[in-house]
Amino acid sequence: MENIIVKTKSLKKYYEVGTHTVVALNGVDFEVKEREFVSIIGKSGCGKSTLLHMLGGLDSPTSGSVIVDGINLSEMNQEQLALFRRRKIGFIFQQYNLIPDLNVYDNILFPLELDGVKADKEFVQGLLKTLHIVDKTEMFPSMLSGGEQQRVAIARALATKPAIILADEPTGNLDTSSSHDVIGLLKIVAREYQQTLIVITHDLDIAQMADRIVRLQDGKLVGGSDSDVSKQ
Amino acid sequence: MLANNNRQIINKLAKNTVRTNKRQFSILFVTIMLSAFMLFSVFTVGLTYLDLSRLQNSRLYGSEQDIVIMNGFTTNQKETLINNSKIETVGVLSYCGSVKSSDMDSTVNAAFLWGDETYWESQKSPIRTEMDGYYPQKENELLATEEVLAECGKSSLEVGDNLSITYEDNTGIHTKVFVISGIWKGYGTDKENFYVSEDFYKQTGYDLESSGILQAKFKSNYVTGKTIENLKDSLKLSSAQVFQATDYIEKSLTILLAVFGLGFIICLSAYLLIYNILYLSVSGKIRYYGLLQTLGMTKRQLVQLIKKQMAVVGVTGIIAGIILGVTISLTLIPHVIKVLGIPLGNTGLHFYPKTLVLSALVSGIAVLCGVRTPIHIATDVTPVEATKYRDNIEITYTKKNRKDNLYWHMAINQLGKNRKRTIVVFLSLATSLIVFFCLTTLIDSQGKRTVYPNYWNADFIVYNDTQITDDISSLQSAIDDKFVSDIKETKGLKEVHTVKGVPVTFPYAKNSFSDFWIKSYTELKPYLSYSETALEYQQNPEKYYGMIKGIDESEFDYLNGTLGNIIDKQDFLNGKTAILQYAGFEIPEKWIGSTIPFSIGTERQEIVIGAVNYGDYYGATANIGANLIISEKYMESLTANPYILSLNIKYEQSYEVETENKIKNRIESSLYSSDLLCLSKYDDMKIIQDSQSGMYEIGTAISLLLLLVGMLNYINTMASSMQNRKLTFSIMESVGMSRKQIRKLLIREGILYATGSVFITLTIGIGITYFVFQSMNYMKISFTLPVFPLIYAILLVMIICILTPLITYKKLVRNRSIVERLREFE
Repeated sequence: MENIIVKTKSLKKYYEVGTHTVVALNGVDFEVKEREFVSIIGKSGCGKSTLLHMLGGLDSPTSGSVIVDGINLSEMNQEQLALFRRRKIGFIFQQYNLIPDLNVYDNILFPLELDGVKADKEFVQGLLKTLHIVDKTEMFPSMLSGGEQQRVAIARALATKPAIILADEPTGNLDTSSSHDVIGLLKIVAREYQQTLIVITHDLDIAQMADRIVRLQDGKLVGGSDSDVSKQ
Repeated sequence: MLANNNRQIINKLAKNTVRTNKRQFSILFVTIMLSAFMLFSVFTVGLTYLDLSRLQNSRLYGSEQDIVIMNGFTTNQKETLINNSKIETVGVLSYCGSVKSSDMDSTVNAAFLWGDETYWESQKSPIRTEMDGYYPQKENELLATEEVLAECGKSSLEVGDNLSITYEDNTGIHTKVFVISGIWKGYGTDKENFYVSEDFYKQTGYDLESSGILQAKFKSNYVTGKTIENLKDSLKLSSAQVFQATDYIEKSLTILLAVFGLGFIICLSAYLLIYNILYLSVSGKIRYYGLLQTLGMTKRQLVQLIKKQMAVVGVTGIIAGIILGVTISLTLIPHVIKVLGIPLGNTGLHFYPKTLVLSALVSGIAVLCGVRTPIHIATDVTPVEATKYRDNIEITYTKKNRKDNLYWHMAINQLGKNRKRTIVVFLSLATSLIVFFCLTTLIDSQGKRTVYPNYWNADFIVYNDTQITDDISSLQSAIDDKFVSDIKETKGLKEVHTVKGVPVTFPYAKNSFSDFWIKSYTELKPYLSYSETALEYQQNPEKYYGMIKGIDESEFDYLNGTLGNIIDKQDFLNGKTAILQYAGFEIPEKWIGSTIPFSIGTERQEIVIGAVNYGDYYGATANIGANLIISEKYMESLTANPYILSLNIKYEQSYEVETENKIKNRIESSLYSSDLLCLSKYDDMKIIQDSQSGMYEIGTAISLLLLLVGMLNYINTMASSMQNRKLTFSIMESVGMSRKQIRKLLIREGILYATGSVFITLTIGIGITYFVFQSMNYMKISFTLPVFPLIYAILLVMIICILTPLITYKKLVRNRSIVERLREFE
């Protein structure tokens, strides 16, 4: 039986905006199994990104808990969270978030170098080939197209062979063909390295490539906490 | 096509942009303000320094003078000087006799001087601080100082009192009762002299043609060497006349160039800094400018918008900087100095309208030049490019696997990423350090460099002052062995050397050395007849006695060094060679190498003159006959009981007040204290410090202020640079870089900035300091670095360089999550 790798309990997140309180997440109970590919869908502002940020330890909940691989993230300090992100999580952002000062190769290896870990050259080369960016390694992010930058962001997320890949609208800035390619690649790599993949998207075509789809609405999971919503 | 009247919207947009980006524009405002302030401060300090240097020069020489013509002058020469358009004043001064004794003191060392009205009223007036009475008008009137009255043992005398003096002039030795017509206070080396009336001067046998001194002052504070040379040529001087320019006027143009050189470095630094901040400011808004272009703003309108923003910030920044400069230079510093109880006299920082205009102009030019490139960047990118704009990246990131080196590599790459910005930070920090270093070195050496007679080989000298000119038996044991051992016991002394001496006579023979000596002596005393004096010499040789002075080996090494090591050490130590001491004109070459006889009591000796020492370091003794410096060992073989003529004392630490006071206390408690004449290096320094009147404190305050400005510049640049790296930090954190790791990176960046700046300071900075130092090194002292201020300044730079990015980072992050920070850029 496959283990639960990600689990949230009554997860709530409120933001104070001026005099108003915005409810981003309003009691989310959510589980993901190891090696599962889950899509999270929902309208803009429904809390998808907030949930993903909570799962990756980028943001802290107002209440409730996030347990990843048996560890409660609320109990970790900033240093431990940084270490957690570096070793367990591979982030892919809609805005790519590549480090402008580093070239493609160094962007990809950056999390590894922070750990002082020697890069698995064959693995990295494999990634570069798979993502079709072998000839871009010396280039800086500003020299690349949106699709190329997203591929570099994916390579960076996978380079540390993290247990979980969290992708926030990874195809948001790509055309349809590139979008399918990118998700296809992610799926192949995740399967090959037995990684758990959680993808936020508003594109149902993309979402349907996942093992399971979860819908968020007004900060809550709709139709049960852990059920297929629209697999058909 | 008709022009669109879009001024209103551009103005509104410019105003709103400044208002809504207060933080960024504040940084820009502060930068321009600091640059204007820095420029104003440097120009003000530089010009004040020049003025103070001239004033110090005047105070040390005792009057305002740039050129001196000695050994007499002709009426034509005086007229030539008066008619020279570059000369402001021409004064006349003349020596006219020496005071031998008063009714209270038998060994008075003072002179009579006469000065004309220009000298006394124009040239002397700026250095007089007080004048009670008037300049002598009648033949029996004297103008005195408290110092000369004390020398005569008559400190209590006041204006109108009588004073009986025995003096020697060109007509002979006389005793006369004078009336004190005035007592003055002020600066200068002539305070141990009396000024006399013109009527008295005319009776002394001196005349301006042979012994007058002409003193001229230039209208300008700075003249070229060529001007001085031309002036000298126009005077058609005789071979006996001595033309001398003061150290200040000779170096004035170099000093001015040094100040402007320093100003240029500051200007460059100010320009680079303004350019850098403007660059950061504009490049940080490229996306915004892209948006404006997308909405239809033309490039021309965009340029207008940026220029208007910069004009608002630039003009207010420059005005604020100059107000700050004026306030600090003219109000705050004198106030602080006053509060600290430092006497400022009339030599505080001066306000020069030209510095105000110059600093505003240079700052304005720096803003105009600085804004050009950023405007190009802003207008050259297309609206689409602008939305994706990031700073140009020019570096490659080398491979590395070791974790320890990662931060260093990243830090080095960060510095290399924007070389211009890095150079600006380096230059800004280094400029401040160099200016601080340069000023500290100059201030530290001011006294020694400008006036102190550095050829002295002792910190304190005690002279036996019991000798009377024509009495061979006048010398007393005012310095005895007990006194010497008491002095030697004083803590803080490094060395104590004794100069021992005994009177000797030189047998007279026609055309011999003694004949030459007595002839030279009578030439200096016009009232004496050579033949009569020579005859008296033969009859009473002890009246014309000389001295032999024994010095130890270490003193010989020093003395021989000053003579160019021409004396064979063994010959000197063994008593074969002596050094003739002579504080007058040149001794003819034929006497060097000649053997001269001398007698101690009845015993006759002879010795070879190896060289001449034209100084009075080993005691300006009162005897008429020659002084021979011989080895102490040889002296002991000649006489069992020589007199101790002087003690040359060296401290472990020069200018150590505590040691100085201990020595002075021991002298005061000596039975012979009134017969001891003391010269102190420390006292001389105090006199110089007084003449500098707060220059040291002002200089220190300003150099610290400039260091602070440099630090603020660095803080400013780093703060804006960090602001631009906010996204990078957030991304780094999002992919797993901990805050601790970011702090490690920032510490290394700080260390690199500090190290780079310190490196520039210790290489180029020392070069510049050395050049500036030498250009103002009147006394040709050796170049020494003030180590401790430099170490403190470097430590301060290190601390600030490391803390600034850390604190800025903390402020940037605050308690916001990574997501919040990333969202700012979406």
